[in-house]
Amino acid sequence: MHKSGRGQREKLQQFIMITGASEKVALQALKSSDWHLEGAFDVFYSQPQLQTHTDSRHLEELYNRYKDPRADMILVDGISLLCNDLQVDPQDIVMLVVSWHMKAATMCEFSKQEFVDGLESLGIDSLDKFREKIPFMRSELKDEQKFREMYNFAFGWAKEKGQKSLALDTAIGMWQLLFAEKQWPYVEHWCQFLQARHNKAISRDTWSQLLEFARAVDSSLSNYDAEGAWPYLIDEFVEYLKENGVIQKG
Amino acid sequence: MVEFNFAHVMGCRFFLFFVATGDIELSKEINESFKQSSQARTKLPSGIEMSVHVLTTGYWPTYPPMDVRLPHELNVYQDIFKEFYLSKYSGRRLMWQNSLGHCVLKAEFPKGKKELAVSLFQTVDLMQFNDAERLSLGYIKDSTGIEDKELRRTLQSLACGKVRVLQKFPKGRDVDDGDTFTFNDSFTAPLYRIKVNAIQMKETVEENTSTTERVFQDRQYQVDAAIVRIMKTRKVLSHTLLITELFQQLKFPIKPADLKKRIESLIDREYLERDKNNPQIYNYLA
Repeated sequence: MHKSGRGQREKLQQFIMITGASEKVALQALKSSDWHLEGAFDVFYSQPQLQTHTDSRHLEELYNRYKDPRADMILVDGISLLCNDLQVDPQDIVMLVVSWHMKAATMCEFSKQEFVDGLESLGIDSLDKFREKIPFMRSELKDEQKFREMYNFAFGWAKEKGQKSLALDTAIGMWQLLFAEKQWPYVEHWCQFLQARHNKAISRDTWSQLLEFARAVDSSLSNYDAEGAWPYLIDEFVEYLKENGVIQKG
Repeated sequence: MVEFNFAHVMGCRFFLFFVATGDIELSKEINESFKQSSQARTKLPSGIEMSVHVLTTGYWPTYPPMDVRLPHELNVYQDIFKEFYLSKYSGRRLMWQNSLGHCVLKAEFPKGKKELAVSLFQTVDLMQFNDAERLSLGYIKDSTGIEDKELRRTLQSLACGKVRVLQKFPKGRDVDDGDTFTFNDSFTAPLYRIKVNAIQMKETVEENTSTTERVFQDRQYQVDAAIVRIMKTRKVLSHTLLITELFQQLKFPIKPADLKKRIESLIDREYLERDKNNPQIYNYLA
């Protein structure tokens, strides 16, 4: 599968012997340091998640535990079993974080590659390790940059396959979940507004701009600019807030 | 007792839509040659002068077809015209647009003779009173076959408008179930020839919004084209500048919110993207 010269082969074995890392991790570290052993050690020891090497056999077993009997992927039943094993509610936002780490294409589905690669990058090869990681993943939601990535990831993850936009009901569900973390005071108003006035699917642009809006515009909307480039739905939402006396007309 | 006499109808025009090419000029020629034709000279009821506009469907606004039970003379006329026309242009489909027909009727009121310029529906209603003194709404509806709302509007124009050639009982502005009508014996007017205005159907709120929406639909391609044209030359442009340029280029009034919708649609279709670092700036995606 991987062609490497004799010198490289030796360095790889040496690296694995010293660090005890998996071949994959070793290769990654060596490549990123241009096959200098010293540099590779630096890379390896400066990234603690690389050190917890995963056993591919264990990963395979874990995957097979959840795999759907009729397809080579994990489907709804497998995911509820996984949630059960992890003692996590399937509606828990931490499952979004898990899916984000696995780069899952669709909600309620993990392909074998998504599952295995995701767990490998997290350094998980057993249920115990998985459970231990849950609090860490929960804490990642507090990281502003990571949260934004997850938020934007959620759009593609939650939408129906082959659709461009996100069904309104799903979008509202996701917003309620995500903004419970983010503490945006208008989330309920926003959902009510969409149901009353819009009642259509949500575009990716509106989705991603809403987070920007929630971050950039303060709670009294004093720095909101009607002439700005906010999507029209957000403009209409501000009007709606004013009409309903939620905020003062300014 | 009054006579709305059809033997003295001065002129009666029909609109007819057909599926082929044609226009007003052609229509005039057809009318001329119809008058010369043997069918017209031998079979037409005498004393009525009529003309038909033959117009092409698709070139003209469309009207919902309206049924009406025409007086015998007009039916005969329509049939003869149709026979004549199809003998000249075979394979065409003729659709009579009754709602666009107009007539001039002679009426003998006790206080003087008048000529009434009326719509075809008004004509059909008035002619009911040639044989009867007092008619109920239900009776007129059955004998004319005019659609309910259209009929009420027509009777309203004859009995409640400026020119009241009919009287309504009980009096009132609207035509309700159970109302009855009589000929207005005491009708007077300073002029000999009088136009009885039809009551225009008011555009409902839904119709108005649907019209506005259709216009916007038609214009959105122009808006899209303008946005793409501008962004293709500028590559990168802030929202404010793009809106300013659009207002300069577009020849019709448009709300900034509608421009935004088009910009967002182009983002969705991946003609544009928001700049990753500044959502106020758009990049053109080639």
